[in-house]
Amino acid sequence: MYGWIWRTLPGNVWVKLLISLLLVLAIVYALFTWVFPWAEPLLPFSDVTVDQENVTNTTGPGGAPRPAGATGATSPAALPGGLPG
Amino acid sequence: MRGLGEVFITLGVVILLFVVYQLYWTGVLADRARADEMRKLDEARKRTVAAMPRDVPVAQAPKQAPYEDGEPFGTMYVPRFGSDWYKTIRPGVSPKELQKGLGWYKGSAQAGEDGNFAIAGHRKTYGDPFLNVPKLQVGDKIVIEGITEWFVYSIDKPVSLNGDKAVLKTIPEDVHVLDAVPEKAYRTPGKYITLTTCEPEFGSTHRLIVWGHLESRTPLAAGKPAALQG
Repeated sequence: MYGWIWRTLPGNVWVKLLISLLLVLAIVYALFTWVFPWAEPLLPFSDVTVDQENVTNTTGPGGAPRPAGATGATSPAALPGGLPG
Repeated sequence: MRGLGEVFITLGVVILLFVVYQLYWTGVLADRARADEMRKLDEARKRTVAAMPRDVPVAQAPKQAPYEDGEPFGTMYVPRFGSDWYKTIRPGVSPKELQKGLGWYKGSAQAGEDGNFAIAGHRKTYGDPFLNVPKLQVGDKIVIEGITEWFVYSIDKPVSLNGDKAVLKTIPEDVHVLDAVPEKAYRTPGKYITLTTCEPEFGSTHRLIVWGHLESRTPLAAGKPAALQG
């Protein structure tokens, strides 16, 4: 693959080197600007939310149900995705 | 076969670059975003001062307005995290908002008000805002510089924890930690703050939670609260 690219590039060694360098820079720029921001949320360790299904079950473990109206002020319990990380 | 090897090496390099992006570049992006947010806050504070009637004494700051989407509404300082640590807060806790700093859980109380003022932040990546949350101790101060006022919160020992531990580890589904009176932390209603972040550092299986209560609320013009001096 790289051998083929090297042979395909025009010019002498120095021109080839310069073009290769520019190509590498362009690829790294594209990765940092578009590809990585896109890939980030697809990976588990940056998965900051939980399933909606789990959220509806939150009253299950860990505590008695709260008496209605006891909380006073507003509560964000209707959080769509659980606690972000 | 040689081509296949080259593909693997290329993939390896791309993955290494991704690590650089996550650990280093998101921090650069977060610093830029923070500078942007600080500028917005500065403008908002100046606008508010300009709109204030002249004859109102300094001690009577105007009531804070409802937070607006996309607009930062304060800066957080935590002396325990070091004197150079400060992060901006804006409404919303989606990944997009958390890339710009700390996020306020919409629907929770506003700073200084009755109920629970709930804030989320990344543990790792995007400037690692809440990296040192596990180091927080009972009695540590959390200071918010709002648009018109300073709010000082003091970290409490949650009623559900033994000893003098201040940090609760829980699961992401445990959204009741954000209740107006979170039952794992308090027995009576009050003006509370909740910080949430990821646990472990590079994971998302658990959450760390810290609670505190409002200690003081003073106009910006009154100067830095004692917690930030010295």
